[in-house]
Parts: sequence; C-alpha cells; structure tokens
Amino acid sequence: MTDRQLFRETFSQLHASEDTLTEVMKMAREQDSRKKIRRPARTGALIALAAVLLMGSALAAVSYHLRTEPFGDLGVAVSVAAEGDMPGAVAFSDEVENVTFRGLEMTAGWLPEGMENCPGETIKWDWPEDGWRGGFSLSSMPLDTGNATFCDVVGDAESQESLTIGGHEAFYVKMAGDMGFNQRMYISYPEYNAVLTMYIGANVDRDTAVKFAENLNVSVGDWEMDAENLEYNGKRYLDMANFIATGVYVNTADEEDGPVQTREEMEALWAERDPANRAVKTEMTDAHEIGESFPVTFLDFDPMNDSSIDPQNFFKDLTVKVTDISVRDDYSALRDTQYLDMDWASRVDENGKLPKADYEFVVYGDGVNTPSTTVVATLPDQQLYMVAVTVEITNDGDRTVKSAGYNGRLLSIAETADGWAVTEPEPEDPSVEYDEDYCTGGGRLDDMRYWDLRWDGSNGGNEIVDLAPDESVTIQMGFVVSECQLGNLWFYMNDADIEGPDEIHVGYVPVPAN
Amino acid sequence: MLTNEHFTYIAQRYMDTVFRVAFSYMKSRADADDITQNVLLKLYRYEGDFDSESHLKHWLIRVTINECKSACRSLWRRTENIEDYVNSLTMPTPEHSELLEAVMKLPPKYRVAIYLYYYEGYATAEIAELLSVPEATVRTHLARGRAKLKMMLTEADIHDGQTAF
Repeated sequence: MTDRQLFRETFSQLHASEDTLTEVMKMAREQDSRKKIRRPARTGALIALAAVLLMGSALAAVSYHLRTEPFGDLGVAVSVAAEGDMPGAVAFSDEVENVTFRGLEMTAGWLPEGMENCPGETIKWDWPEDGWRGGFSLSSMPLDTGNATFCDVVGDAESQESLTIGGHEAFYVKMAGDMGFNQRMYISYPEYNAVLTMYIGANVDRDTAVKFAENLNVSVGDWEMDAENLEYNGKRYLDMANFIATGVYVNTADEEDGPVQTREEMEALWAERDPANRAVKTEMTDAHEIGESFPVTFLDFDPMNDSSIDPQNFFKDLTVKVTDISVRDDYSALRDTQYLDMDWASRVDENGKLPKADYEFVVYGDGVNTPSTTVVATLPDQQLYMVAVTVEITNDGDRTVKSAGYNGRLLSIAETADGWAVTEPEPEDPSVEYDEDYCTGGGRLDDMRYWDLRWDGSNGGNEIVDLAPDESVTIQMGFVVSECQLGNLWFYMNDADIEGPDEIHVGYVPVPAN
Repeated sequence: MLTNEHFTYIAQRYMDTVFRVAFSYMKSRADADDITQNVLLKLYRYEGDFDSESHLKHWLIRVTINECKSACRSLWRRTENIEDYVNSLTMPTPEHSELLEAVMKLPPKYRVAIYLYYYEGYATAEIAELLSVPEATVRTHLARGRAKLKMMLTEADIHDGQTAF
C-alpha cells in the first residue's frame, strides 16, 4: 500500500452526521417561516434595550461600563470596567469548565443599498463591486472571562467618540492611514456577557456605520467558548491591560510566540529574521558565474510518496548550474508564458511591455506614539522588468530524489563599507533614513512569478517529482523587479522555505544589470 | 435556485467532502457538523449557476473554508478529544488511526493544505485560491506540514516500535 493510499483510506472514514440533510431541510423551513413574520428592523434594537433593562435589575450587584482612555500620542485603549461583584468571577483553574460563555448571533436589520452578505460569510457584508474588501465584519468576545474584562488598543486613532447604540454603550474610532478597515466600533452587551467588535471598511462612512449598528439583531447564539479559549482570552486581556498600564507588551497568552515578549525582544526577533540584518560577509565566497556548477540543498522528502527515506537525510545535495539570465521589459525571454502568474500575464501594454511602478520608502511606527506608516521618499516611474533565470539541476547522489521542492529567489546584495550585505535600493534623497520599502505598482523582490517545471497531473507545483542519479532537469524561473533594483541583484535557490536563507551560503549568481 | 431533488443529490454526494474540510480546519466533529449544515443551507439558498461539477465542488470548499474562518475568528467554538473521536471510527489498521491523529496535531493551516492537496488532489494554485493565500505560502505550509508529520510519525514509531511511515 502506498502512503497516499493510506492517507486517502484514513480520511475516507470521516463522515458527516447521518441527520445532516434532515437538519438542513429543517433549518431551511424555519428560515422560510421566519421570513414570513419578519419584524421591522428597529424592533430588534428595542428588544435588546428591553433586555438590557431587565438584565440590569437581575445583575444589580454589578455594573459594566465601556471605558476609553488615551494611549500614547496616537492610540486609544478600550476596556470594560466592572463595578461591584463580578458574577462570572471564577478562577480558571477550578470552576471555569462549568461556566458557559456563549457567543452572539448577529444578523443585519438594515443594509446600505446594494450591500450584501459576502459569499460564504454570515457576519460580513460589503458591496460586491468593492471586491469584498471592506464593508462590515463582526466579531464577539467575552466581556468578562472571570479573571479579566475586555481590553483592546487601537493605534493611529484619528477621531473617536462615545455613542449609545440601541441602549448599549458603544465607542467609535477612526484610524489614520490607508487600511482597508480603517474604523472600529465596540458595543458592550453586559446582559450577554459580550462585547461586539465591528470592523468597518474605508468604503463606509461613520453615519452609515452607526445606522447599521443601530439596526443589528443581536441575540445569544449556540456557540460556546471552551475553557482553553476562555483562558487564552483572559490572559490576552490581562496582557493588554498590563500593556496599557506600563507600555510594555508581555505576551503570556500565546505560547507559540514565547512566554514573555517585550517590545524590545519582539523587535530583536524580527531584526534577526530580517535578511537585511544578517549575513554581512567580508567576501562573496559563495558567488558563482553563469555556467558554473555549485551545490545546493533541497528539502527532498515526501512522507506521502516515499516512506523509505531516512529522517536523518532530509536534506540532500544537488548541483545547480545557471545557464542563462535575461532581463527584459517584456515576457519574450520566457520559454512558455502559459506558466506566468495570471495576474502578471495581463499587466502589459499593447506592445507587450511591462508597466512602470512607483517605488515608495516607508517608515514603520508603533501606531501609538508614532504613525504606523509614513511615506518618506518615492522613486517615481520605475520601469518593471522580468528577470528570467534558466537553471540546470543535476542529481549527483546515488539515490533518486523524490518530490524536491524548488524555490528560486532574488536578493539585493552589495559591497558596503562593512563588507557584503543584503541591501535595499537607495532612495532619491540619500540623507533620508528609512526602515522599509514597498512598491505600489509591483516589483518588490518577491516570489517567483513564473516557473515552468511543474508536477504533472492534478498536483502541479514547483516540485521535481523524480530525479534519478546523474539525471538533470532544466527549469526557468521568472521574477518581476523594478529598475532601481537592478545592479545589485543575485539569484539563489533554497528549499521550500520562503522566508529566505539562514545565511548567504546556498550559492549566488549575479543578475546582469541589463 | 436548485430543485429539491438536485439539491438532495448534490448534498448527499458532497456532504462528506464538506465535513472533511471542516473537520480538518476545526478539529471538532460537532463544529464540522454545524459548518456542514450551514454550507449546505447556503447551497440550498444559492441562486447562481454552476458551470461544472468542479465549479460546484470548488464553491462548496470555498464556502466551507470561509465558514470555518468565521467560526475560528470569534474563538467561540466547541472542542473535542481527537483520540476519543478517532477511537470511535472504524479504521482499517492502527496506522490509519495514527495518521489521522498526527494530521490533527498539525496547526490548522498545515492540515487543511495537506488535506486538500493529498486527499482532494488540488494543485497548490487551486489551494491558494481556496484559502485566499499566496501560492508560495501554500507550498511552504505543505512542506512544513509534511516535515512535522514525518517527525511526529517517526517519533511515534520509535516509541511504539512500529514500521516507519
């Protein structure tokens, strides 16, 4: 039996419940029935208000209030203050598993003209012509987890106001910058132990958002938050509260990111991961010329197809020879344009030439004391080019390589006063200091936009299926770059890890400067 | 809109596929059942046309993934002991059970990509579209998922003294 077969046999044992179809038909009938007696949208809000009043008396010992306070120069902290006895105040370790925290069922009682539910979404709405990238998106979180109350921080706050939505305390904030969702509204529902967060797209104005919120139908859903997520949320609220109090974010909520992460530690971690901050070398000892063979490592195992590979030999040496690199402002160097990225295939003019792009240099801030992004320099009208690299890969080992993922990459490396280092293109004004850059019209050093050796059959992809000892394959890979990047570009190959090489050691071939 | 007969035919044909995608994502039978019902309800209400069988299947998986994302985003969900569920299934051999448990221990992004790639036979470009992530990300998720899977199963074999996967 092959391992693929094992996989298929395993998953084929999973079946939906036998009553699925019956339940669906029942739900359909119930919805039809509800449609016939649909109440005016405003009624939902009135019912919610009535519920607030009723629950207010039932929970007389405690009072929850949405609280906002400035955070830094540009941010705002949103939290829930509990006054009095906290009804859900139980320690995570003992009673929390017996406490039920239910999510909110949310339906729109009013929608702006033309707006509709995003495909496949129940709590997200937008105008179809806007590509489902804006509109409204809702989420509900526990107001009080037992150990901590709701807490969040919004950066780049441009304007803000406290509101009352259907009798509920609410807070609206608009953020600066060109984010897709540049507004938020928090609405507290103490009677349901929940805070509703409404993410509002840049294509919606404030008054429309308020009207949408006022007409939302909110009730308790059948979703429960399990103890693990409840505990996670509680820790996150506490982490955020601590952040608000001290300005230092200590991450205890997310075990994957490590138990403690101050801002400095997080910045150091990112700096470590950033290729621009590593691999300064005195010599480009791993540089190679076109036509020269050099070894590379590939992730060459596939547990689904080959069970015989020793786990100690995950990585296998192969030899790469770059046989050609061409730089053109069209796709004429590509061997077969059917393999070109669909998006890029259409981005040429009537003469088949690639367009120009404006290259922007951006300083990143924290959104609290400094704006999240500031454009500090531009390189306008940068011509885009297709860099086409043809490589020959040979198996020098004594065993067939199976399912070898390949990834070609381009990196900007230049000789500096300290040695060879990964660089970014120079801005127009060399005195401007910048942290990062991006290209508004494409062209940022990115993934392959073209590769023409693909896994045959239904599973296409950048993999060499089989490569026997002494056998070779030829692959052409293509990358879109801006003209300002030419001159210092180097081609290299690594395994399927797209985060870049650990060091400059996998063999680099300079890209001709056109 | 589909006729009742056509809907029933499609639902019976694809509800296990929807359930398996949802289970791969949610890691909970109850959640996967709920999502399967929601997806089929959307299909029942769907007023558009499907160009082909593959278009229909693509639509169902896309809607399933969106439903899963919505469910995960709110953190309101149900949990289940995977071992208990696996034990309740009639697997042909212990190897099958081990594989399912190992896959379910992977992070969601890896296990969904692996399921779509190896079981449903989708290409990385199609998975990228279904999951709304760059194709390179799918390739990375597949590679890392396979690596983790390989290590988990190898470790299990060492402990159990069984044949290597």
